[in-house]
Amino acid sequence: MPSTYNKIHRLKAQGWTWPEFLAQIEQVSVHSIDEKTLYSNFRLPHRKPNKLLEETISLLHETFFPSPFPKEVEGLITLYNHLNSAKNLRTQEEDIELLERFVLAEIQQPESTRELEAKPDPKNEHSLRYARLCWLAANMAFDRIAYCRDNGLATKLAENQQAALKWFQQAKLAIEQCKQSQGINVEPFVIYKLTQNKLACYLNGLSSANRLDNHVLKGYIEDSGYIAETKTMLELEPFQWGIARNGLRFSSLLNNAQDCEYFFRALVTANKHFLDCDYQLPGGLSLNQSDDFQWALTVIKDRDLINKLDNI
Amino acid sequence: MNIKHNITLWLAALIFAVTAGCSSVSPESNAPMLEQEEAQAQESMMPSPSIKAKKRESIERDSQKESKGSDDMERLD
Repeated sequence: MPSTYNKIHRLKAQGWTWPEFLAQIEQVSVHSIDEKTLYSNFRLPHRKPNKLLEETISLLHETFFPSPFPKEVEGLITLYNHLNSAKNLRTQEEDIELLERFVLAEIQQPESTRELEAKPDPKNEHSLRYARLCWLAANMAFDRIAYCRDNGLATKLAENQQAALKWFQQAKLAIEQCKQSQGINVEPFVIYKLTQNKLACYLNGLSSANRLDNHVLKGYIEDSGYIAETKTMLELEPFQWGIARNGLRFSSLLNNAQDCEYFFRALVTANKHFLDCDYQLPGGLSLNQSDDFQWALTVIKDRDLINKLDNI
Repeated sequence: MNIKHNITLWLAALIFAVTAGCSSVSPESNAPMLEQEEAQAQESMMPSPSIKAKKRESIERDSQKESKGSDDMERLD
């Protein structure tokens, strides 16, 4: 799900003034949000929103940017994310396995696969339902990749990588089929997310040291068209610091100085805090701390980008 | 008697000093020993989380340390 920061920016990008934004909030929620809180979450990517703000903004975002996917499957995604991020839940692994078993049974039903291959599904919701269930199955496999990597479980790593890639690709095919055969409108960012997730399957399977000068990874990046897609997304939504950061990461791994400059500029455009290469978001690494960005940092320094952008 | 009295005074002073020091410790202080012991005591009373959960916590803590560690990509929903 988009972060609260991104949701606020997407809503604000509709041209609302802050009073209009607050008025819209009052339409969907009995609880009011003060302007200072809203504005600070708009300005600061590292700001952790309180529960009320998070829920209210989610509600408002769903009103203006409704998910194309059936609500019951969105509910399963939320349920899984809660399970996955739970701390000290004794039955966490077992609960996830139970959910995964259900999801795989749903998407591996022979009739679902036959319908997808043989003819367009007459019910829009069914194919988007199938797509989103595939996405969920992919998420579950994806979330095991880093654990397998860090614990030397090479076989399990490969299995989970392949499963995640397969289900992300199935989700993408199903959505594209819905768009083409049924004229369903799905915003470009939805497909982009699947492209990025597939690339993340490859990247997260490698430790930091193994990502640099990795020809296989470089091949995946180039074949995916990710860099060009990322630039397109940033033109549509320049506040998306996360995708600007990943664009910078992959440009760094590809040793492409021009793209490094492009994405650093985009990152700073998304939020000026990123002028500070030590700027760190909760749970993440700063550019200076991350091995993936070291090549880009030399470009940033050589081209004196920090001073140039600070003066704009 | 005198020795006993001195020892008693010394112990009282020590207890007072420790108590006063603990109350003036700032939240950001690097004095986690007592907190760690309490946390470990609590943890030993709770059912042991799954190995995977422990590994996940360890991985999350490692990723938050100031080191050039693995900078993984988040998946997008």
